[in-house]
Amino acid sequence: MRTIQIDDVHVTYSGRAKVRAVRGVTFSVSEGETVAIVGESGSGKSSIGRVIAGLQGTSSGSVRWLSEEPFAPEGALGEGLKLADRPRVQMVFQHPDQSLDPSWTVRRSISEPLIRLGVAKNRTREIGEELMERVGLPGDFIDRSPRELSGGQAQRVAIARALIASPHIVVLDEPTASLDQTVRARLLGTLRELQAATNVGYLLISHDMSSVRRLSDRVLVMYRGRVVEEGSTSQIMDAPVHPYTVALIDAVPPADPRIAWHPKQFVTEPGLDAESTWTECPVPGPCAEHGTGLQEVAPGHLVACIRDPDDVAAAA
Amino acid sequence: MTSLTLSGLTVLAPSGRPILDDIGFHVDPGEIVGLVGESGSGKSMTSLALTGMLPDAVTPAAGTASLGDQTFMSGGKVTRRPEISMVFQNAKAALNPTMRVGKQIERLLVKLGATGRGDLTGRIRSILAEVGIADADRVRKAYPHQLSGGMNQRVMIAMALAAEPRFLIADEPTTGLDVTVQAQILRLLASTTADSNRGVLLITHDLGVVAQTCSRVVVMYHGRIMETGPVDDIFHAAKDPYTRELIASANPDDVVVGAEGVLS
Amino acid sequence: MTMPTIDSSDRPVPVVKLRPQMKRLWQWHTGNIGFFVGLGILVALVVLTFVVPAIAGNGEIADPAQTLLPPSPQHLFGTDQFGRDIFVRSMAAAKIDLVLALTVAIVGLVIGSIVGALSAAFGGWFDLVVMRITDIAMAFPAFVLALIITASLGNSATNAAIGVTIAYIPQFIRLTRSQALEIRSADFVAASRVSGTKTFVIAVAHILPNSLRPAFVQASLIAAWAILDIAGLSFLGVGVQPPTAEWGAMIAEGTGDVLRGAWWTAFFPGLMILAAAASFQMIGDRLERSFR
Repeated sequence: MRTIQIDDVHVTYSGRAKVRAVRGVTFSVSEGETVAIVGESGSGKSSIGRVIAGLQGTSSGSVRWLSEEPFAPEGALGEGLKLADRPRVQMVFQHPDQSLDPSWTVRRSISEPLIRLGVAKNRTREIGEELMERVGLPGDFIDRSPRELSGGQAQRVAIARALIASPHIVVLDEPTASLDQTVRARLLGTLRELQAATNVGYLLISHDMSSVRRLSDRVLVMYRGRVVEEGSTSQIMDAPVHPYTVALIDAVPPADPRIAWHPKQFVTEPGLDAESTWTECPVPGPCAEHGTGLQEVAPGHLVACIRDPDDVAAAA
Repeated sequence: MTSLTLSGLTVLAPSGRPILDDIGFHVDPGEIVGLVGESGSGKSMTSLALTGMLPDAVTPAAGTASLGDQTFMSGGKVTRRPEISMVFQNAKAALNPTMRVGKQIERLLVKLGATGRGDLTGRIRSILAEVGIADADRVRKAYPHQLSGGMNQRVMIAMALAAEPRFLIADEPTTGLDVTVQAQILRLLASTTADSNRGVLLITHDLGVVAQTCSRVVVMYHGRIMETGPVDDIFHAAKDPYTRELIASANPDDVVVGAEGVLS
Repeated sequence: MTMPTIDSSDRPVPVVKLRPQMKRLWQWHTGNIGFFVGLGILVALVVLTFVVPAIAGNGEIADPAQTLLPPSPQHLFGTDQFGRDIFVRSMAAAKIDLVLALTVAIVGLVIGSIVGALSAAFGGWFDLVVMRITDIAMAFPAFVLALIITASLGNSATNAAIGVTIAYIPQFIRLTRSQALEIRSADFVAASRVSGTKTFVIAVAHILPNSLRPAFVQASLIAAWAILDIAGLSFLGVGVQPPTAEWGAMIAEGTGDVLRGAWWTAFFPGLMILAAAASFQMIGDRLERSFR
């Protein structure tokens, strides 16, 4: 089983002001599993996704594949191809209206990853058509242009494109954020089926808790560039420990007036009325002893100190 | 504070087709009424009609509206500017990007009749404090793009409230904001409404927001009102089939993520 | 909750559907008069430039007996100092000017847009160099640049076309590049990179086709200016040389005669330039509005 490992990755954007988008993140994603990264704007989750997809470089830390297994031909491709060139990580983006080239037909867009692999034209066509079926699109859509597709349909094309060259991991960057409620549910179902059929691994980046719950095995909660909590989906969703995670889950107003809603706040911005700031650290034991990094509070369930390492360093 | 009453609002598209068809509702002082619908339902168009900002292409055909006992709309057209303030979705677009935030508030206050330099700064600080901004000086001196979306939204609400309107319309005020920021903004809206006993028309497509902040709900679809009623009735005993469908889609079978199962 | 009763006078009058339809058709046609006029002129010129010489020859034959005759039913635009029919010559000249103008626009568009897209796609020093070169080129008025280039290459219709084309390429580069810079950050470009496609291929297959719009619209306007430039060059004796019929050259030849009272020798070729340039301009305006 192939696994991509990220170790202590930092991503800093230099510009007029240096923005430290990712500050020391470590985790892995393997084939067959779904790891979710949740967080809000400024958390660094999108940057991590881009790093894994190869679109963004790191300022420090490493990204590597753990397994020594050769990349055997599998899925739809067969032998005799430049498989070493095949993209091992693919990505599906948030906005359906931007993820497909408006001047290309669906057929051309789906087959793009196969171009460099020397796959014969008619074989490409076969594979493309088969994949259309797998993602739940009628075969004749393959000759349409993106303008003739709805948001959900465009996302399905993007998913087909991502899977066509049998990658090991697919980064899903807010794949349903721009879609209506009903379309969302169906798309998530398709993603699950495809994973079962192809054993692909997903890195799901999202702020939508219900999607995360449906699709993921493990969840990482990111806040201002670092992971503040990590664990299995049920650990995070049903028994969150870090105050930010609690605030994040609490913050979604339930669509039922009979459910009481008193969201706990984790005040994020300096200069705001400091109401309901948490002062109790979720990690047991004195903060000075356990440091600001992640500590295990239950098997597989890790939590970070409430203090931010940069604030601690600045105060020192 | 006074109540808002709207009845018979009908607005036509250039082709003659009604975009809004006989829209009417009523908001009491201190109430937050939710105007709910999917995109294309006409909810934003309604708020534009109430504030006299309908686009040129459409034709108001009928409609009467009044704030308390003062009628400000007849025949669908606004006859005198009502004391209604509006808060929009995209704060960054509503604020002037080339002017510091403090300056923009100052200009607004001057237009509203304030005088005296020192007096102004003090007023700006208290206005910002009202929306939960403690570090008023930093925010005053910043440009909109230097502030986060949530901060900009608070500034916009502050400016809307500075005019001390008799009524507030909030059109998708939290759409596009981070979910924790949304929670804070909603709490802010609820508290200023309660404090001032002002009525609020909250326009949104998010049923969770409606369920937790509004006391009554108006459901719109394709330019017509499908159902109106107290929030509990709408969510648990809706009579109209479209309303029932809408409520059902917001609560999918597997999970309603809510505060109940979470550690408190 | 009480609602005031609705006054029956507020009810909307049912609107007849036909009237808005007709109103819209009328608006569309009157709004686009420029386009139809421009198109009409252009079509007329193209037709005449083939038909007239087929019937009446190129107007090269000099007839000493017919020199400097004012416009008449036999000679619609009069005759010049050599007795040549100006109308026939003008129509023959149309071919050169129209072809040259179209060549300038098309070749300029092709070269400029490719360079612009590549520049935006690669960025870095390549982009820097391209930008500085276009900056320098655009510091000169296009006509002056065309004049310098054509004069150094030698006087011929081809070289005039080359000179004018080169003078306008920087504009095409700029227009394409600014659109390409926006396209560059689109998700489908990122998806292409993730799939391993090389930057050059991304530039040509993804970025270029989506960046053509502004350059395309401008091409029509540049064709209009190209006509003016080519005529201007021949007027100055650069580029197209007499006895080839070309509007600018004809004006140059006729200037002396104008002073002697034969206004038609310069007037009608000038009118032709105006008509052709204006027709491209009107077509271009409409294209620009429809893309807004």
